[in-house]
Amino acid sequence: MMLDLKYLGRIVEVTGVSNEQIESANKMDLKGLRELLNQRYPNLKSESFQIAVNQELKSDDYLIDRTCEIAILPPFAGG
Amino acid sequence: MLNQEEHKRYNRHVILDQVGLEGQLKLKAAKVLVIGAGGLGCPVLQYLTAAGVGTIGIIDFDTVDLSNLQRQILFTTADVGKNKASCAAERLQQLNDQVKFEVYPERLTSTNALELFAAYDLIIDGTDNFSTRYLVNDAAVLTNKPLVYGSIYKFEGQVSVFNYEDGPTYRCLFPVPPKAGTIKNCSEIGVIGVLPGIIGTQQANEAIKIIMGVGKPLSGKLLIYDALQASYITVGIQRAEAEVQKTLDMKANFAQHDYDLFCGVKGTLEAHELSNSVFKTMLNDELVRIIDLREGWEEPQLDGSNVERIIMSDIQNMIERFKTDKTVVLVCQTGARSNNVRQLLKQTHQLQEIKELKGGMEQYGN
Repeated sequence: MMLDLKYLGRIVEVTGVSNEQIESANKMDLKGLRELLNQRYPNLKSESFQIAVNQELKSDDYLIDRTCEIAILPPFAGG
Repeated sequence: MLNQEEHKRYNRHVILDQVGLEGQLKLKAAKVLVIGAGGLGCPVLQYLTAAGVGTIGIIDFDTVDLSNLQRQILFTTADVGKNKASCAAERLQQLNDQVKFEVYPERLTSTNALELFAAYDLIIDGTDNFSTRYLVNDAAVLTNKPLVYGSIYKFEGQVSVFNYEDGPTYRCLFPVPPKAGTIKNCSEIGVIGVLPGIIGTQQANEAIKIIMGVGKPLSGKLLIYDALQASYITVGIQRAEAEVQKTLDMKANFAQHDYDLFCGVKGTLEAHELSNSVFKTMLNDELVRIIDLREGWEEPQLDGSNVERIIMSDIQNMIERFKTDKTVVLVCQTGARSNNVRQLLKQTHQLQEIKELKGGMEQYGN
């Protein structure tokens, strides 16, 4: 399955890209996705973010089992 | 009832089928509290005043700085140094003398928030830090007021409506604040001036819709705007009862709740971090070198016989200046730059003993 990732806010500064596609052979929950992203971008470990799958915010036990759009949403507080 | 002047002033509202006289009277009867008269607060306040919201509360302890004027559109150069809440009310009264303003030139705290919120129908969050955002959310939940949320970062903005008819709250979206050392604000990272205008105007629109009962409030959704791509995405948010319950459980001891501690802005110090009081004793101490990493125009200024300035762009050429037998203390505006430089000196140049002022000059003296 293909994970179509969109990075937002300061996450883009860690990944260096705002969009990318990652191919995954296995199903994974969002906890697994966090681990995958941490391996790919070690500096992500200190970042706080929520994950939306197909435009819906999901918790870490949510299982990704098919191609989907994923948004990585950090909090920010500027005003 | 509207008087003759109001009929004329609000005519373009009243002739809209969705508004009518009824909608305009709802605006006139409404009481809205705007937290922060900054980048977001200015456009929110301007449109709510123009629209004829009857009572508008403005709370902001801060004063106008020259660097605010690039985006905080209610203020002029002559206003530099004045309190933002009073200054905004003065300007807005000229726009619409039918509106009643309540000015609070003070900090929103867990001691004053509940009483303040209780006097209003709707709350608008235009703050610039996580501590106050969690405080605003919790006080809105505890007083059961809808909260119109907006937040900005560089070229990106978020808008949502929280706590509206049992919808999700800010904690349902972001249950925990980010780690303190990683947080930067507009004064550290910059923000494009029109962005708070766009996001604040959307907040004003949501507030007006809720008051008039027209359309569909942005509840259960987070709208994210990217000013560089001119694109919007919307993400659905569910109410998380456990998160809401956490807030409700705070009610009995709310005034004792320390949001700076919760957000890690203050709390236990790590070995390299200095508190204000310890830092104060190091000023003018000849055995200490205090290095101010800020640009010359950043305020408050730091004076002391042992203070020297090395701005960020010069660091790489000035590494030798950090190599000394004296205690080196780094200072910046919020603690973000000092943390970066300390890491660099430690990892790349094996300088292990560098200290920094926790929280930077922004909290120094508060």
